[in-house]
Amino acid sequence: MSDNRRETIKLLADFSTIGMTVAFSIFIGVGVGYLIDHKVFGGRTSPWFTLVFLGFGVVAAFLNLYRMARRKDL
Amino acid sequence: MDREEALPLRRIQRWNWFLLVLLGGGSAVFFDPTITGGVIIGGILANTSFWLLKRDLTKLLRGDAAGLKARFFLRYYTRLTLLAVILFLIIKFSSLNIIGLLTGLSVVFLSIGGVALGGALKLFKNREAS
Repeated sequence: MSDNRRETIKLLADFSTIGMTVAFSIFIGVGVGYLIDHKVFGGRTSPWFTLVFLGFGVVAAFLNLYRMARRKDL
Repeated sequence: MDREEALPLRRIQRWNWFLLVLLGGGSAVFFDPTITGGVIIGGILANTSFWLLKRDLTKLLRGDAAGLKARFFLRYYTRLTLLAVILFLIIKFSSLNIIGLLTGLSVVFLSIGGVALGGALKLFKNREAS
């Protein structure tokens, strides 16, 4: 495998990781919030836990993005 | 090999839209409109976000300027904020089904997973053949 191709694949993997972790954070946040709203409280608190956990997911995504941005090798 | 040719981003993008049509169509047949709406809106959000990421990533890989990385992350922060606001508004003010929305948002994961699995299988077959 040529150096150029290896470097490209490494960069792609790194940047795909950013996309995936950001999407996962939001996805898991909304999913957990929805479960709490509907399974724990039977929908009485809907949509508040979903919104709060969406916020947590977004904060986690921002933190991940910030960590990636500080990496020297990217 | 050119850097852009090495990236399966275009293939992932095609799979994104194909899966969205498949899931949206299936949902329209089997479930009620609030679920179908959630799938379609979630899918459009995820696909648009991926399309913008692909555009920025292609620019980043093509360019050599030092400021490109900072601009890439700045755009990503802006997009993430916008996505969070849109999701907030949908969850708070619309009657769309959240499970449908999450299914739509997962279209990009499924495409990336599928394309990665396909690539790994191809690599495995090539190794076995040689």
